[in-house]
Amino acid sequence: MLGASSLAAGGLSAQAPRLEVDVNAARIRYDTLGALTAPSVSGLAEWQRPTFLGRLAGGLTGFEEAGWSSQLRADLAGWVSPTRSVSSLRLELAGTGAYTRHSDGFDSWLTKADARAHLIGRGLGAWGGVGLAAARSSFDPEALTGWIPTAGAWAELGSVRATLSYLHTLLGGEQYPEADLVVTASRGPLDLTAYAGLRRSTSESSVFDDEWGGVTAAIWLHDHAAVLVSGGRYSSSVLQGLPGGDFFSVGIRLTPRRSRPIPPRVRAPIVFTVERVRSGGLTLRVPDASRVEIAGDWNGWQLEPLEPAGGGEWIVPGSLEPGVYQFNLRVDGERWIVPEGVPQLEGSYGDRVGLLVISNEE
Amino acid sequence: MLLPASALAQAPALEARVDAATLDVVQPVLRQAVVDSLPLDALRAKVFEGVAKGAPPDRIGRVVAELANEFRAVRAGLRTQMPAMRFADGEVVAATMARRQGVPFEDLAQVWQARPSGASLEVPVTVLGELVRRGVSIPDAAGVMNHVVRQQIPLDVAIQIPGRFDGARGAGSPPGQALAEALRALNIPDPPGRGRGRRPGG
Repeated sequence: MLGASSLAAGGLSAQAPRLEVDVNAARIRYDTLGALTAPSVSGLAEWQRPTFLGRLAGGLTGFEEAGWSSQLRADLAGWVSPTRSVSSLRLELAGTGAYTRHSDGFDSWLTKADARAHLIGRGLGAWGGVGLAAARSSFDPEALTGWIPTAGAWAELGSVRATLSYLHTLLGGEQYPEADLVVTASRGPLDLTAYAGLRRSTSESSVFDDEWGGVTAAIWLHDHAAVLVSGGRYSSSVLQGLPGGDFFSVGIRLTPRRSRPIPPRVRAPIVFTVERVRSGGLTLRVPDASRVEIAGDWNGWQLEPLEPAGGGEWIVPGSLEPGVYQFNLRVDGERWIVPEGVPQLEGSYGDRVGLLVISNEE
Repeated sequence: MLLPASALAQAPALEARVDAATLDVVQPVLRQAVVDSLPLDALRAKVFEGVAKGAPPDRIGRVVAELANEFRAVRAGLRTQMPAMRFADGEVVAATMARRQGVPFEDLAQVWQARPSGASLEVPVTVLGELVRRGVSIPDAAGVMNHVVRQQIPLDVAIQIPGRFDGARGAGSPPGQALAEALRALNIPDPPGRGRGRRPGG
């Protein structure tokens, strides 16, 4: 499956460059072969700025008594907002190149260019566009070309994003309509991606009719390493003529810095006046808690109980002096959290911390 | 006027809160931090945070040592740019956060050069880092914050820029336009060369 739009994948804001190396051991049952054990090593480099995204990925997979294959893929996308009056409209141009080679001499390549229009709102978006793809494999000396109209929508709520996309591949007089759903969640040390898809063709052979789905979990041990566990079925490729297969894989991901699939939203520091704090006017929302304590930079991270104000609101002690502070709440003596509506920063102890600014002036 | 954090005013003594194993690990780091004039309050706060959250001593030691090294590198970088300048602890902490977002020392130095005598740059540099984190280009963010400092915009107004920016971004404005809208909402005059209709980086 060719990935959905860069914008639909969250490419709205600048992020630190992403560099990852995965080492995996997989058990794969290809549609065209029996079950194989397949160790692999793969790498990914991604650079994302507010108006473009570049990504380079490659991998090498060995197959039990069946040689090896290498894969290389490059993506580049850029987008602009054409009008001030409709600034939620983005126009995107994207290009993809992919190459696969097996040690027995089989190879295939694919290039694809896409033009898409996006409507982006707060936590919701939709896009429509068209792609032109060209591909060739050793099975067929003639290059295939096809148009791929696409449409899709995404929604993001907290740390969960769902993307539904539809591709209508037109190739050699046949049609290959395809729907894909990807749900991504990131919470604490866990990044989770679940996907499912369906393709039906007008071709008599139905060889590329397919259904697929699976789950990938990355459990971060610390900021530089994660354990990867994934399983399910990946789809066949109409354009490259590659088979689908069922798989289960475990591995490890190494990176200079963890990159979350859904970047945390960083909001402005909350600014409160000393007068408001002293009068008990600074409240934080923690619903469904029976005990809430606060600790932060101002008092050496000593826990202080908050008084309930009703309706899930808790009153911050009036002893805070003016300053810029990092803090957390501890809920029911167990969970350390950042309350709703408070800007968050990456913490030093594998968690997140909130940011609070107390001013002595209105 | 916003004041720098006075964390130590209410913070307990290290020995009263920290177990012996953690003290063994962090005290050499803190002693060297005193020698190197690093922001001691921020390092001590990081120790207390680790203790409160039940982190093992070696983890706390590693976090504090990494933060001290980061402060040391940032202070050295600032001094290279501005050899005669003295830097408050809060300014070094803010500059460290900005450096994490990729703001070059040259751009930080320009903010210092725009400063009226004696004004704290903790808040402007914090805001600079926050704007870059949000996708504003470094030249745009640095240019705006230079202007905010030069114009002596009250810090309580300056600290609201990221929030106003978020509001404009949430309504669909691209970064350059959102920054212009944030300045307009706070009645901050346009920086030179940055008309209200212009959308750099947008």
